[in-house]
Amino acid sequence: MYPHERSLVARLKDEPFALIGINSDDDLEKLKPALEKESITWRSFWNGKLGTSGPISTAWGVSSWPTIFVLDEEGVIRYMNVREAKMDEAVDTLLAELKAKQAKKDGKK
Amino acid sequence: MLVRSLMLALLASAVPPLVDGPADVARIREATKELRAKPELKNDEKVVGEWLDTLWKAADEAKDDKEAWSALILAQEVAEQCTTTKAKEWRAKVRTRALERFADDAERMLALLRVSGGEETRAAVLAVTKNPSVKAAAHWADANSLMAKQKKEKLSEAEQKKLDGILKLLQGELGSALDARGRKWGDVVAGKLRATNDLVIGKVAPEIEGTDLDGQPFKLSDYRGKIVVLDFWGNW
Repeated sequence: MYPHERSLVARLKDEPFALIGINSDDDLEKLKPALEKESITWRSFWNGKLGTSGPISTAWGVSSWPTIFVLDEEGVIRYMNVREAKMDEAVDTLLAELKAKQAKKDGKK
Repeated sequence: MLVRSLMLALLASAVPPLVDGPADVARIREATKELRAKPELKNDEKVVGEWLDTLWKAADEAKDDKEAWSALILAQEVAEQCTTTKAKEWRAKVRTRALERFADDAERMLALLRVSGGEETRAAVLAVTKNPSVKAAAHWADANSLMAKQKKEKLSEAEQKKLDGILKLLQGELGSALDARGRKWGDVVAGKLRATNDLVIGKVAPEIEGTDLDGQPFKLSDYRGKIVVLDFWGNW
């Protein structure tokens, strides 16, 4: 999963896009070498010492990993559990939508 | 007849002669593993009946709770897998013994609820346990089966009332009881209900406030105006 996410983040680095993780590892010190090795540069919330039982995944009722939500610019959930090519497709669709909205707004000015 | 003698031959090779004491428990555990591939043996009332008799004896004569429990939970597993007419009676018998001795032992009652997932077991556990974590787990299992039913059909008035009551109880009186992973039941249930009702396409994602992997605080809403992929991940 990392290579795909790395390439998505790289491809969209100049776009209004962010990949935000909720990391559910219970030991941050053990995780840190992997961040470097896998070039995981995107930002993550940490779910805390309880790992997969931490407060964020509990509050969201998440019980399987990975779980994916794709949000639009207003924070509305638009896709769930899209992976790989499907994730790219979802993000590209929303980016195109956002650009179209902005163009319309700019046109009205 | 041939099948019967073949079964007995298999059994003879799988189960050494029974002796008193907890060694039997280990032996039956091994035998049940080997025989898992042979459902016809599991449903042989004579075979299963003998195993259960041995396990009950081992539980009665066990030197401590640990040994007694390991015999009882194995008996429950064996009885659960069995589908003969006597199985129901056996299950009730094991459950009664387990409850007599361990009703308020949260860890063991949770194990019992895992092994024996039926409504009958939950009702029996709820009737005797005083442990709030055990009560919460049994109620939650009841709620889950009602919610699964609700997805398929409209619940009866009594069922709906029961479900509402359980959800209220889990978020109220039993809300601060801890689940097997150390979380408050009230939080777990609130999260599950939110996932079902609110974390759906078309609704605004709830706020997340937390810290990143370097300890810096940030919020999900900091990213309004951008398309966001929110990825619950772990490096395992």
